Amino acid sequence: MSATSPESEKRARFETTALPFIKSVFNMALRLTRRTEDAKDLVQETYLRAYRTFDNFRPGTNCKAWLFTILYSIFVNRYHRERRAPDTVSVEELEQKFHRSLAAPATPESGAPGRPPEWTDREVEVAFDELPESFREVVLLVDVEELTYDEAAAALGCPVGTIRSRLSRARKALFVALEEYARKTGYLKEASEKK
Amino acid sequence: MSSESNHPRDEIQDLLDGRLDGSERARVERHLEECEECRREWRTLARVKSAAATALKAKDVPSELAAQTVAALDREDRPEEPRRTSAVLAGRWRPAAALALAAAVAAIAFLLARDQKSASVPDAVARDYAALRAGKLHLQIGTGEPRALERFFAARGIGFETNVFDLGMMGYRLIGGRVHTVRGRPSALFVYRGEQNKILVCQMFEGSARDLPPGADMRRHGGISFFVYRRDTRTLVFWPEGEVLCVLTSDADAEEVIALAFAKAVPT
Repeated sequence: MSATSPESEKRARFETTALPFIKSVFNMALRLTRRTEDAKDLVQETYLRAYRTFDNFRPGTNCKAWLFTILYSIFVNRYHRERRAPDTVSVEELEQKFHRSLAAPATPESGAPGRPPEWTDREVEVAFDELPESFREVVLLVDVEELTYDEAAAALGCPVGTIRSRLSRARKALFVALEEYARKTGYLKEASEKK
Repeated sequence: MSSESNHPRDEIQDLLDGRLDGSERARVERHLEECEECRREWRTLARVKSAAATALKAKDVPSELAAQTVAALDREDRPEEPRRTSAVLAGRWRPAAALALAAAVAAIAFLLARDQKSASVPDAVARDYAALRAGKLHLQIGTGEPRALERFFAARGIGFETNVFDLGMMGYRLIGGRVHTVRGRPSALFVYRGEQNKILVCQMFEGSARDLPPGADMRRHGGISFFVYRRDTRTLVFWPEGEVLCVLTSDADAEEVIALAFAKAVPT
């Protein structure tokens, strides 16, 4: 008779494989729901569903991406239905703003005289929170969690081409928002405070 | 001179995301060398990508979340018990469900309390040691190189800085490690082998001295408090390093294990 049952082996494998990603899963849940309590519920339900379907997970593939797929599915079903609104971003307008900002940046690149090293984390978070949800999702999956386009497409249930185009627009929108914020607050203030 | 179509906008993004190879990559890089406009766009998008990765990365997880998740899995493993999990997790309370809610909350509190008692952190760590010794817990990487193991832990999602120390001077050789869990918390586990086949196991996981039960033999060294427990023939020495709890476990002589912990603990 074996010392460990198949169930306890499954449990041990699951804990070893999936639980190390709880920080990333919680981060994703929190950034999507924006409420700690909702995020905690979402994390627990994600792990429960992952555990129930752990036989579907293929060893050697990206477990974090698999968990995000489950999380996103629950998120859409539970929170999304009533809140989902079409993203109202005009591509042409965004491109114009982006290239205008690029030509005359309010925040010179790092290392330029009189310029603090980079945007602060807080500024990035505020600008990020203003983005449409479909933009936030791809930035989180690809830039923060370092999923490949294919993995992100599987998690969100959309074509790879959609990930690519959304990501392009999302980064540009984030830059435009950061630039607008910088123009509003003015970095000259920081430069003078440094003196 | 340059019309919109001359600028490989999509490929700039692909380059940024590491999706180009060979000649395609060389072609885009060549274009960037020659085109200031595209170069500026590439640099800007790289700044945005990097700023997002830094600012939006995972912050601390609520300390109770890992334990609650493990408790939810425990309930899942006991199908004969009433399934309260889904009600708890749904998070949609209605007045009519108040009684059920109270019962569920009480049940969770009970289960958590019972779990805490039935498997304290030292018990769980001692069990891991026994499982390793019995060959029931396997290493995921075999290496004698501390930095390689630290990189392995980082790549496998360990969210804190691991400190895999070299114990060669003290007669212990690093043999490998695995990503493990201690009471549901991700743990960096690494193993050393000493003379006469003595095995020394170190685990690092997020936690503090508050996670440890009473009954420890307390030691102080270098301004650090050490919590020593005995489990059968094993000695377990815990100490905190910032927000991480470290533990050395071995069936070597107790004072030897304590001395190893003294030598390797990093004051914070």
